[in-house]
Amino acid sequence: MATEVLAVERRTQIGTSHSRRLRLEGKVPANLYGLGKDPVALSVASDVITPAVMAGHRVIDVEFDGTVDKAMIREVQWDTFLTHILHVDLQRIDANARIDVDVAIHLRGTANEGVLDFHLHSVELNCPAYAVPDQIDVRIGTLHIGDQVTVADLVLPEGVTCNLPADSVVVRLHEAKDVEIVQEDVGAGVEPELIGRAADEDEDA
Amino acid sequence: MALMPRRVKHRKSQRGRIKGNATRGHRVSFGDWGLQSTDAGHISAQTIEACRIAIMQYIRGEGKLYIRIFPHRSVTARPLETRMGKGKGEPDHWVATVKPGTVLFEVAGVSQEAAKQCFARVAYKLPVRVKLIGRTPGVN
Repeated sequence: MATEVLAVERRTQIGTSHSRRLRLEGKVPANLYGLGKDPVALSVASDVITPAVMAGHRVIDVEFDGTVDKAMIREVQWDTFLTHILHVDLQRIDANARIDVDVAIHLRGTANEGVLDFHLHSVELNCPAYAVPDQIDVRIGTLHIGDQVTVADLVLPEGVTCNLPADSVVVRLHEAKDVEIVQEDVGAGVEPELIGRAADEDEDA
Repeated sequence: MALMPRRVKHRKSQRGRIKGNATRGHRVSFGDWGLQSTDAGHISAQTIEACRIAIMQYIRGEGKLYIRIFPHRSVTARPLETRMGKGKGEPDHWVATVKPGTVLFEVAGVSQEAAKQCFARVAYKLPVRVKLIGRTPGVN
């Protein structure tokens, strides 16, 4: 729920090549838009934005040109190997308004028995912009086979509601099945059907 | 069921070159842990099946396996002791084309340590270098 203050710089030059140069300097291009104000192209230091994203922060304070805007991290673009952030979209929000936001679910502890089915990795919450939780913890150490945790069982901070149906399953623990591992034929010597070949042959006949 | 397409438009394809990184199928989407390729290459249907067996033998019924690649491309070969010429060979086996970043397998319901040990058994069967990854951090 911590709100980070992000010091950003306004970007005067935009475009692919300038963005690439920014990334080589250890910065991440970003955009700030919303609330009826003009969109602004920004750049933010990579070592500032990356920990904030990794920590699961959804709402941050953006400080530039002497003003501070409250903004929601709308979208993060990662590179192929999930090592660098390529671009961040920030949406201005009203600090007193309620917003809909996806928040990650983290499992705490380990299941003592059975197989854990983790159905919902994130939930959409409706909460005040100043009190967006970084994550929702679900304790699974006390679960037994056949037990399940639904959205209704989630422990949410005060003033936070979930937009999903209360009976949506988050985690279910079921018995481990004995599976027979059989090597399957990979189709050596067999050829697939050719699309359009059968129709052509019919016409020839 | 044979690990190859049910219907194809052309029996044979040119080999081509694998350029660039994966822009699709490079995130853990279904399970908790994934095996991501860091090289480009072709993975045969036999290799995919061998990896499936190795993973299933490790996780047994205690986890779930997702195979994210499929052998869509046929590879032709010439019969032994034949002269060159007389056209392209006949389809011999099927391969999946893998770009750097492609997630090959995913497992769910197992711990990170178990996933690491499980994928270590698979890594040495594969013709590409791989690494273990988790779900995308932060906002997706």
